[in-house]
Amino acid sequence: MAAIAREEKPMFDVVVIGGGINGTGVARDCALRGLRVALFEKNDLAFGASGNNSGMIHGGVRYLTDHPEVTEQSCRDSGYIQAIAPNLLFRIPFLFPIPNDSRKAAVMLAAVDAFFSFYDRYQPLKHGKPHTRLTPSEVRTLEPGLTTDLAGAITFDEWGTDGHRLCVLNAIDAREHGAKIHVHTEVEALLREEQSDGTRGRVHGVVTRDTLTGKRETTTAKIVINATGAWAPITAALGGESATKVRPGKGIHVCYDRRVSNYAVVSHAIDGRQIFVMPWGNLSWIGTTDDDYFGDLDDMRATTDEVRYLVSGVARVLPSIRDARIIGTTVGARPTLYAYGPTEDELSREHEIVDHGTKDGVAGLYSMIGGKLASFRIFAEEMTDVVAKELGVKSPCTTHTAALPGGDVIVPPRPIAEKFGVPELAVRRLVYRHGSRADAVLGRTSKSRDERAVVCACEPVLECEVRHACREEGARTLEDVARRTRLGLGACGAMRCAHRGAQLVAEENGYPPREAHLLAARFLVERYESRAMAIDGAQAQQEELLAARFGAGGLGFEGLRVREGGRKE
Amino acid sequence: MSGADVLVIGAGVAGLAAALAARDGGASVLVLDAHAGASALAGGAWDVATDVNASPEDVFRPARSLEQALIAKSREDTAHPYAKLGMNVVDAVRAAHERVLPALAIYRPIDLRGTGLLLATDLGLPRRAATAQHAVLALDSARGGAIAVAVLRGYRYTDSAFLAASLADVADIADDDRRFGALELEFFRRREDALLHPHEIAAIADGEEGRARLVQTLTRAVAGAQHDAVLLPPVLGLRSDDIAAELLAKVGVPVGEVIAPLAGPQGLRLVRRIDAALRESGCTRRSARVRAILPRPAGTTVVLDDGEELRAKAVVLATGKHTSGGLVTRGGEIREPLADLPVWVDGRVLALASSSGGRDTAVLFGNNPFIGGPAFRAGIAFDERFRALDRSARPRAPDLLVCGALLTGHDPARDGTGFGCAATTGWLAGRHASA
Repeated sequence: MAAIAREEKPMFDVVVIGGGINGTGVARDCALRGLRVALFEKNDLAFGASGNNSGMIHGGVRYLTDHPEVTEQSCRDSGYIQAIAPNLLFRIPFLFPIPNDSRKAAVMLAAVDAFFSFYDRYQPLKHGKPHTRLTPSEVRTLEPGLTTDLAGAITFDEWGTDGHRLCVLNAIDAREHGAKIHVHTEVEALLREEQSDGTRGRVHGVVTRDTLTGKRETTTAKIVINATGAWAPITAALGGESATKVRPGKGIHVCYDRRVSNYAVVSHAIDGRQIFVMPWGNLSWIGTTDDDYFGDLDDMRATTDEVRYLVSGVARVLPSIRDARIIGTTVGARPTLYAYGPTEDELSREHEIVDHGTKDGVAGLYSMIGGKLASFRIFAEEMTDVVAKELGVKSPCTTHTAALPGGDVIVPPRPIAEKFGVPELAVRRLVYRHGSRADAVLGRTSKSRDERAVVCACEPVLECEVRHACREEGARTLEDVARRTRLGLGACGAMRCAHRGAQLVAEENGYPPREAHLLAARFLVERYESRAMAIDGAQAQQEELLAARFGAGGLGFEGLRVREGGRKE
Repeated sequence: MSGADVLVIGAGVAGLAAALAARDGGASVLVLDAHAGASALAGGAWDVATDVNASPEDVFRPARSLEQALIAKSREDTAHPYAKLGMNVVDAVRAAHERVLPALAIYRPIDLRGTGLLLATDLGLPRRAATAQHAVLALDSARGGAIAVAVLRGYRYTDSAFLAASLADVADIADDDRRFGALELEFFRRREDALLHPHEIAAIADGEEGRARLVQTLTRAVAGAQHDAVLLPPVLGLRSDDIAAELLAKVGVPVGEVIAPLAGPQGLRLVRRIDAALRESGCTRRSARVRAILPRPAGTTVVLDDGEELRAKAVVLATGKHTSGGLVTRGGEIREPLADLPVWVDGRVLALASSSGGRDTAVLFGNNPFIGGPAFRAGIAFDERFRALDRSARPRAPDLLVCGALLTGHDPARDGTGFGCAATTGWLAGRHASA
């Protein structure tokens, strides 16, 4: 390993490891306060839990009984996120049906009603609407698919988001404030200073390897922040002995080909856990599980029994869910704080900062442990406060007032659609993801009119956005594009867009045509792996059609190369 | 009664082959068909025993003839329907195709001693097939030649510039001496043409004015330049059986399409020709949805959706596999929905209700779409007379036959025997049905 002379000035103030919401959030905060930042992510932005959660900036209603101050803070931060990224948040009206299955049903309804009255006090902080209590006939009118034997229902209000975009926008803003963002770049080692007595001193940088090209580089910094979620203990151990622990909780969601309900509906699984079905974009999701995970974090998949656990739980209140078509699953590992003994649901969703200098004798290294999507901003602020103090930086935190890219003003989609001559639905999605910058993404089409083409018809996604994701947002594979644009994540399983999308990625990244075939084949395999455990009904027909389409198209050889090359090189 | 001797359920390639063979055997035939199936979604290629995973080198320079590939397939893939034909596989395939392909009219005949045709797909990849529609360009004759890949400005469904670059790249990898280059064509003179779907664009070439425009565009484009062939998107009409011959005569160089699967002009041509071939052979075709097929002592009875019951001397099931609805997956179990026939995979009946919630579908369908799992090979088992088998491997009924993609051991999406297996097993089943 290259010896770095100690007097040499470090290249950066801060190196952040991990491109999830905590990593991108802290990189943004540090960059906004004028620090020089480099971020390294071994897969892609939002690859792990940040892109595979329920997509909600919720108000922490579950803490209301025991820790109302946590609820208050969650609601306040939810309001901040709404203020800085108004395009990225959408209202999710929730329905909490109370089954009429015992004499206690009326009492239960009253209790839930009272509980949400308490929650209403905090709703103004996040511009939420107060709850309402519905009669059985009102429930039937609003949500005809629900089981009929209900004592009533409560409505309440939460905010949904796209976790991938939230990470990407944080990363872009960090970059626009001078940060260097490296995806597909794995940190292989933490550099420690050599002390005169031969022992190892401060962490002062990282050795990285580009996982696509194999290129290794050394980057020095004054402080290294480990924001790798469930991987945090593994990353911390690169610096030497570490006592840092998390208790990874596997959570899956099941994704349907359409919106199956008007409201998000709360239900209970066979073990009494609360689960839900939720409309999201063109699709519906049901979620989620929470199970201790002891497997390989780099190779997680949902299983058939997890899918059936959720489906059977939702079917209790929405029976037709059994006939709806599943098109995929998501899976992630919650980076839950370690505790031995409690059940998964009892574990704290709090976050904490570990100073490895005081804890393990590894100065210069901090780990961000735990946390949740809805509280990423405050967690990043707390971490940056520690860094700023150590580096003597006085500038205040502005992440609660400074808009994320495109979040400065709300733009109506129709005039943009008319101006550029593209379908309004596609523009709505573009505006959702890019806010006021949608115009700039479409601006490409005035030079190249063909870029108005709809590449992915399911979502839909325009060619100009795919190119933009490669040029401006660092996408290097088709999966990267999917995370940034949702290309290929809809009902057809990427049958129609995988290859065209791969051609665009190859062209934008300067890969030869043969690489486009491999990119497409990899993406098709990856998408298939996300739904293989849940193929049923009409999806089985779609699978045969998809395989025939690519077999007839000559992609078989490349498809098998993907298998032989392994999923992750 | 139906008034027909043989009832064929399904009007894809297998159903057509069964109907033609039964007619040849002197039977009257009624074909029932409810909706388009997988045949209607096919591209212009026709496989008999194609290695769909072949490397570019093998695609450009195949190591064996179709006959050798066919024999190898029937020996190595012992669960495949070809294996059940034993040593007669080559004769059966030849005889079936000599009957079915001329009836379809839009395909070139198959030479089993040869290596099939070298084709280009809409993904910019080379692919081999036993034969292809006349409208599809075969690259075989262009050895050492320059192939112009036509870029139709405004055509949104295939990026021809990528196609040309990819084919050139793959030929280079395979050390093949064919050269591929992009050629700009101004076929879309009218602005609104660019908004049309592929089948609508293809239909332009069916009209006299559109055909003249196409010939003129192509003639102008190849004039003065050295092109040995012109490769086009699937735009060469829907109604002509052999437009390529006409274009060759008028333009002077071979002109043809890429393989373009998925509900495009090539599938529509096949649907049109299946319908015509059934009519020309004297079969009756009726659009009707079958609710159930009941093997009864008096003879297998076909119950239609409206309750009408039909009987005949034999019933041939040619309902395809998953895409066509011949098999239905529900609650983690795979069933044959019409006659409730047991579903077989790898020589065994697929037991139902393996757990309280059904099977692990990742085990059934596999973890890789290019390899697939047992579900894609699952199907109905059959005896030497193509009668569907029950759980104890005995014929379910003396007059209930099966063929095509519905057969166990055959993965129509992946094993490279799609239409060849459909035509051969359909033709054999039709012969037995009318015997």
